[in-house]
Amino acid sequence: MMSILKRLGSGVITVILVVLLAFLLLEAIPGDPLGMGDDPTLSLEDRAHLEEIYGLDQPLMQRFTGFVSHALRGDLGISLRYHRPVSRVLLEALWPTMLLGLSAIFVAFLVGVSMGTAAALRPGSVAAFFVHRVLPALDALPPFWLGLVAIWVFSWKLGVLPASHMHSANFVGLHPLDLLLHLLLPCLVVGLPGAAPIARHHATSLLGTLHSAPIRMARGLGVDETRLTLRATRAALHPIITLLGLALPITVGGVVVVEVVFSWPGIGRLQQEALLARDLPLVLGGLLLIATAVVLGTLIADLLSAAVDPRWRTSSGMSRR
Amino acid sequence: MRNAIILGLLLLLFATLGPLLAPSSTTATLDPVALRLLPPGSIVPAFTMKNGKALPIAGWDSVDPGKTNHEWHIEGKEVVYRRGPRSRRASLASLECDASGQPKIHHLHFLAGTDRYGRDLLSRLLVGGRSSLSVGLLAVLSASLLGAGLGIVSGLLGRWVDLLLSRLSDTFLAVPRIVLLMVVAALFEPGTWGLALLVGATGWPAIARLVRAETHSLAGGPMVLAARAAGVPTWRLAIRHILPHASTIVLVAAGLRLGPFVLLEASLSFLGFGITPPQPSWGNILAEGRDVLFEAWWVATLPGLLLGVTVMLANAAADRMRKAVALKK
Repeated sequence: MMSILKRLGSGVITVILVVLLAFLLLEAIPGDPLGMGDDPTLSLEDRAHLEEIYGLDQPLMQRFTGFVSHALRGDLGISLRYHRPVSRVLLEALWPTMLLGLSAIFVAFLVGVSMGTAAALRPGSVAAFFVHRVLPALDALPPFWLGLVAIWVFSWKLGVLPASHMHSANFVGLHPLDLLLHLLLPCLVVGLPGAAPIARHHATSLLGTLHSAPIRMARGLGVDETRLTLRATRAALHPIITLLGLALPITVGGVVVVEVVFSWPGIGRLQQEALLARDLPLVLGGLLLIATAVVLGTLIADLLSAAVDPRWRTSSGMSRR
Repeated sequence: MRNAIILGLLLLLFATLGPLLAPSSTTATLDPVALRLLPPGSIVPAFTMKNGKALPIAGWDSVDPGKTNHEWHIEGKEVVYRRGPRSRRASLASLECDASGQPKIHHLHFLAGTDRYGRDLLSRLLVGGRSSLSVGLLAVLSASLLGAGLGIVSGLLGRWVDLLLSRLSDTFLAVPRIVLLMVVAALFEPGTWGLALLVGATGWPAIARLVRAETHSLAGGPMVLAARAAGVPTWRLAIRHILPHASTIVLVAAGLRLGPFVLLEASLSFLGFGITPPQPSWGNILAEGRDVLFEAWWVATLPGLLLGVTVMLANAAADRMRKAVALKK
């Protein structure tokens, strides 16, 4: 319990540091934060008024604490581009990103574990070739290029899957099948390269476990192979969850780029557009959201990997007593 | 070892010879109408003008858009030839002619095809490779220097310095680097070399962690104890005694970073925050290829393949290096 609180504390410090860093960065940008340059029609009084509205007349530290205290209440300011609260704009983009990110992690986990298991059971098979050659090659290719090639093959040449966006234009509202079709390509483009380290790691560790003394003993006693494999897989599972947690920033980064390729209406594309439009409140809010999500995700991965590891349970049970 | 040698040759080729090998200018367009989006392997005949320039003969074939039409004939004192969608005339007096009065024809080769401004893609790939690879190499260099320096400092000094640097590196590791770099590159527009330094500046924490651990394990050992007893100052201890021990770790870690750094630069350029368009880089050629993906697959495909091959070779070479070092120990 203590260790969870400690992790949570260090996560909060990380998020605050990210925001502080972003604040200092935005402070150092050359140019006018109002984005008006030296507009001759803007009188000095109006400029002063605008600076007061955006709080630009206050010193840096005061603005920072102000931002944090407002952010804690869910108020991230007004987007310069959309003229709406940043928190609302971000919330609308959050669930597409969550959907894409979580399904990509699911694909990475599923493909990684199943292919890794198959490769460990049958070295030299197609699955082993897939794990040791195909997946690492996918991992080395730029994600946006994979996305473009996937669009070219599946949307243009074969015409079976949609090339971009979340919904077809002629649908209004939520259509699960339509959404699934749109999700398939971006989710595979992020998920399959992500499966590469998992599959490799799982294959190696499963191979080790299958040759370990307890498993050989069980085999000698006549426990059947399927059950043995399941047991060994479970034992090999918890480093994989740790691995997923460690790879989380990379996965999120991949999602950001792939969102742009597929015009997926998520946080990544929002962030790119906000940067191109110099919408600083939105940029800051997006950074805060992404950092918080990654810190939370890493924490969840830590907890999960502890939950599947029986050693952790006994030791904490002991300490509680 | 073979991979490493191939990689080294490839890097050298692009980094030094790229611009020299490039058959034509990468930023100036020869003829944006006639030479637009020609497929790889295209050979286009051209008149030689008296001022040394080439006048390409390439009309669009209305029946089959994939093919170009190279027809021309002489009418009086002018040649009539096809350029893009229409016929054009050029005075014979402005062209180089042979003894019988026929205009001389030479051929333009586009091994990798052309982009939408009629520029030779092969030249752009060669020159773009130089920017992509040199950004990657410089980023690796700066990340290793920063990482090694900060790692040794935090390992040797300990206490609050160590705490501060560890917190900072945790922060850097928690934010997806592409997001951080996007923000910085978009708002500051750092240029090619600034970009390389930026990529390096966000890449140090992973290296610093390894170096810090190594420094810690050395700091408790007899070597450091003896040096301290002999009155060696801390800075000298760091440079003369700890750094040589940590150098193999830094070397291997740096090698493993090269591939990801090259990809990072490509991603940034693709998103429009990296190397900016008239100057080619594999990332921004790919971004331009995205816009013409359905007309011309080669513009997006070729830089992506080059990136993939480079990253794979870099990873393989670094892996070999890691194994070689592990065997030695």
